[in-house]
Amino acid sequence: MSLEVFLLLAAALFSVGVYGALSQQSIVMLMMGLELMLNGITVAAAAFWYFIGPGAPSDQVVVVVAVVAMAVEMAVGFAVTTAIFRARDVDMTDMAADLKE
Amino acid sequence: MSSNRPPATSSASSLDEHQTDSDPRDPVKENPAALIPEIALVAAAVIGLLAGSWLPRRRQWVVRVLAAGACVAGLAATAAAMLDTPQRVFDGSYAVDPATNAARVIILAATLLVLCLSVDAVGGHRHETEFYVLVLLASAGAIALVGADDLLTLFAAYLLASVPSYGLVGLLRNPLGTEAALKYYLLGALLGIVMLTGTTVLVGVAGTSSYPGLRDALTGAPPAAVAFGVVAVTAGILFKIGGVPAQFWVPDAVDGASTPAAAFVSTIPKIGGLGAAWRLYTHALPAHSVDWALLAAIVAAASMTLGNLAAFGQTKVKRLLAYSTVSQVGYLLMAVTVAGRSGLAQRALWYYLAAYAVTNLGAFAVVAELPSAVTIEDYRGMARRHPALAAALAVCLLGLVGTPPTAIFVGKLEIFTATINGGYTWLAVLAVANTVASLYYYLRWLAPAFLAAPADREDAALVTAGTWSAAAAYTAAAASVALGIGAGIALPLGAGRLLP
Amino acid sequence: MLIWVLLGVPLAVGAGLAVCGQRTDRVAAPVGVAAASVTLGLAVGAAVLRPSASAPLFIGIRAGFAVDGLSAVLVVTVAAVTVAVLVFAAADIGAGEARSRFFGIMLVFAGAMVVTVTATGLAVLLMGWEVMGATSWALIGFWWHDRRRVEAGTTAFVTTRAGDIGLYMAAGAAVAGGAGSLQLDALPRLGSPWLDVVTAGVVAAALGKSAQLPFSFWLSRAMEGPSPVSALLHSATMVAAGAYLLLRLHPLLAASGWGQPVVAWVGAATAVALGLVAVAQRDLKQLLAASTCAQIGFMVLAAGAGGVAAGTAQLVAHAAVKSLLFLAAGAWLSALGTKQLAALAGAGRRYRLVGVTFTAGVLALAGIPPLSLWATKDTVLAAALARDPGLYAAGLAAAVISAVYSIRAARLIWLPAPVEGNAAYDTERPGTRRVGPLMAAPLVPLAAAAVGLGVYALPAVTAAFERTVATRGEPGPPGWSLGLSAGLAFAAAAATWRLTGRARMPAAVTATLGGWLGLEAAAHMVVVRPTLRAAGALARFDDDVVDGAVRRLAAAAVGSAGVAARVGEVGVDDVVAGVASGARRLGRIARRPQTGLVHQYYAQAAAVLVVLVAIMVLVG
Repeated sequence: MSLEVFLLLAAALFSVGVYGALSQQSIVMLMMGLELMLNGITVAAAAFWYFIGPGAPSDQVVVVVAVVAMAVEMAVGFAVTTAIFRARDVDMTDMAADLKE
Repeated sequence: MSSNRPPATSSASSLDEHQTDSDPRDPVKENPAALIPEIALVAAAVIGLLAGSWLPRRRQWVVRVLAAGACVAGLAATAAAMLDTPQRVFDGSYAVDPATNAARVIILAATLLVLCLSVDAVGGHRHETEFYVLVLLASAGAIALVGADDLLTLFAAYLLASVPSYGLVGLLRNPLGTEAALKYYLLGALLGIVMLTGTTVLVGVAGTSSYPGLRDALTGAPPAAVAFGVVAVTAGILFKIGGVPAQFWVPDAVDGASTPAAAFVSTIPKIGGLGAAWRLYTHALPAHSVDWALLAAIVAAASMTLGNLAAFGQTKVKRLLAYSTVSQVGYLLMAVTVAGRSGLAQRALWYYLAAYAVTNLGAFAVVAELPSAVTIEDYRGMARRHPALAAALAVCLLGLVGTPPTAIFVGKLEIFTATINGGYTWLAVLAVANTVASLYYYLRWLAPAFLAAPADREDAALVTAGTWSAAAAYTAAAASVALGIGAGIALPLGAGRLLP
Repeated sequence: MLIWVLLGVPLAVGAGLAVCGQRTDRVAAPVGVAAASVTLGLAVGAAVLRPSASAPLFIGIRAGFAVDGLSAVLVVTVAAVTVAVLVFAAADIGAGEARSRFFGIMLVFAGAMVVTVTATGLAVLLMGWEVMGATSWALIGFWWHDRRRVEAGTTAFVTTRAGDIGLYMAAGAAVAGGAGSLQLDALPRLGSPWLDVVTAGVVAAALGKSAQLPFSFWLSRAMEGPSPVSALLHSATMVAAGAYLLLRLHPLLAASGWGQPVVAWVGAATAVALGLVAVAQRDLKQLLAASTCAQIGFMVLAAGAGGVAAGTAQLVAHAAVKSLLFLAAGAWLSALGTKQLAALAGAGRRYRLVGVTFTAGVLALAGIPPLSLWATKDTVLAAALARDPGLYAAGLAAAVISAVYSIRAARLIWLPAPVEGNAAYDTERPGTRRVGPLMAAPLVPLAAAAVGLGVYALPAVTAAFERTVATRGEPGPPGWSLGLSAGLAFAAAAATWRLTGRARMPAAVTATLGGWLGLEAAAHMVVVRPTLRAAGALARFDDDVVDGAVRRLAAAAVGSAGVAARVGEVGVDDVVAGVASGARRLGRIARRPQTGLVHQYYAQAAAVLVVLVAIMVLVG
């Protein structure tokens, strides 16, 4: 197993995530896409740490930051989604389009 | 390309050695006193949150006083810090230098203005405490964006500045506010992840995340990876400042959010984001690597043009102001474009940021004072009924155009000069054209305000909200003029050499 | 700088006219002719000054342009023919037509040819090549209401595209083989397998573009377009581009070992076969088209035989002669409404100037000394003789055939007009019964060139030309060869003059040759029909998809021509209406991205970020 293999895995996860984020209109599915992108980042950062700089803390911190970001973003995301679902019964992005030109 | 940058490598390495000697893992050796303004904001937020849950709704003003006190304390501490020597703290990941201090002053003062203009709208509201707490946290995040001297600190600051803002926008729980929060959040989440991707790539190829380390390590890195990383990190910054292509949230969030929240998210994060871009470009990237100046120039040109054009036909005042902020970001990015090419750029950026903050908040304060007036047409007859407020509006809107003697006039002059100085004449020409064009839509708003209202109209639209918003508007207008007249004193405050 | 202006003027003015549409119809003709004249002036300047320039295109690939000897000759030829053709078109494409679109696309087309002949690298050459192909489609299908003409445009486009794949293959092989810069002069130095792939690709692309065997049929269909289009397409541009490519890359052909004989024999075979096809035609424009294939065959033969100067001279002389003949045919078509040879009997008597110039052209085409094509063809034959007597024999036969079909056309137009008068006229479109001064004007200088270029036969001129094109010591035609070809040409001409109008060709011959050797039918049989049959088999599995696609494709071809016409005609209104409304309109456009739909925000932001990354990667 080499760095390239893990980076490929990371890129694959990230790409699936991008596809999900760009193609889904259901807010929850879209957030799943974002989640997958973060997973890709985590894998890449862990691979960088393991293969390139086991002594340096930077990449390890990236992993921690990515996990924290995942938790925080998703907590806020579900709060907002719940709020708009309660207020307007909306769970798709195209149903929330009152603010526009 | 950065002839005026100090020959940094030697002093940077000696600084690093020094810190390694002093064992960065020992927090006692760090100097928490250097972070008093940030700590004050966060502490006030925590205390305010705890206190707010015990206080009855009618006495939540205590939290407001606490928040204002934190800002004032932070301003005092910053004043002291400005006399101190610049330093790096927390393992070199956070810089306290003239840029951070300038950002602290502007952000804390702007936060005070936001607190002032929000009293009429949120006073007595069941989420009053939460509003203040979120404002304090987001302000701390905005300051941290400027101080961050490490990519991971930068991303943490991004989260700290963003997450409370999402809450702020959706706080009033009306349907439009929730939709605004949803859009703001979704864009912020995507671009935040893009930013973290860029961070990962840069850290991966450089093996370090600190700016001085990056500047050394990125010299031999694959250029395509560096270019991707820089654009991706810039994407997050662009979200914070509302520049193209991350400007989509601006009109929708400003339109849907409550006016105080809109005033906050369209002003304070910009100060942090632009400071962050400045430090990132000039201090984390080696000379002759990525042409970040071109990147900033493209984004600047697109932002100012798109913002101005989109504001042309706009009839809702909040959306008009939203687009105007997008175009202002374009002018501000011009200073970033010529960072390192023109010695004038740095002071021009900070001066313009200060001028923009007070002027933009002044315009929002007027909107907050007249909560029922939604469209431009609703302002008809305003000068007759509220002459002082109309005068404040005129000062702020003409200020946004850049009319002497307001502060933005001086700011634009400085930035355009710096841009031409730095060799981006085409950008300056485009900016001048945009400035001239922008007069059109600001005047479209002012003209009805100074016309007589039709006789048969009930003036329900021009009912005022209270004294606090009006006070904020007068203060901001006065400050805008004062800053313009006192430019000679204010300008040098934004200069001062950054830590290498 | 000069070279950028030279490239920029036709492309920019053309694009502007094409985009502006109906609004500029009134000024399109003068603007187009003026732009072409300026281009001609610049071309002459460039031919004298020999400028070169380059700009970064992709990583490691620069967009280089240079005017060397070969390019100088071609640039001037292209520009001169374009001026003549556009002057003619100003009269031929009437006021009621979409003149702006026509002149615009013509200029872009000519500009693309200039790009092609000045490019120093394969990347830019490909761009010019592609633009030329696309604009030729738009020009042949100019009258897009007529489905047949659109189909003709599509045939031309698809056929040349099939050849173009070779050029892409060549570019890919060049990169794979280590010539990453794609510079033309680096190609012959490639290693063994890649050199062969590049050569094969280039040869296929050039033969396709030049309508050599087996791709010749598209040129027949291309006659559906307006006469000025035929005149430009068949003389200095498009078909000449293939010959130019082979002449330019003759070191590549030489390096490959097999390239030269293949190309030479294809050229000779085309010259003979398509010459016979021309003899059997009943339609004047079809005759000229087949003769174009045959004459280009001589240039291809020259490229294969190593006679670069000879091939180039043939190209220039042929450009003058063929544009003249097509314009004359166009003038008659416009005046009499027919291009059938039988119906054109006596046309020369009726419109003397056209008749005289046309006759000068066909005499040159017949190889009658001392006219232009006689001189150039003999140098080509000399090059062939030096290589292989078989090639020489084939070339000589082709020369005799060209005398036959040329004189046949000349004889027919000078026959006495049929007694029944106008019955055969106006079969193709209503004729105007007059040839205006604008139509006649370009014929005279072109005829002068067709005759005058015979000076090429003088050894001093030949030597000077060879120096210009920077080749050394090409064999000159021996005296006996000049005499032989001249004698054969005279004999064939005399025989044809006597026989035309009296003897009839056997029906079987006319059927085969008149139908262009059944090449298109063969292409249908070998390529199109099996493809369709396979599609039919697949249709059993998925009837809807394939069937729908075929129908959609047909509809799209017609529809897109319509769209192209319409796109050219909207968009300028409001700018003219005033700055204020323009700004408001821009404002509406600027607000359009703000759709209110988050997933669209996502897509737009992602797209812009990708572009920014691309810019940063490319610039950095």
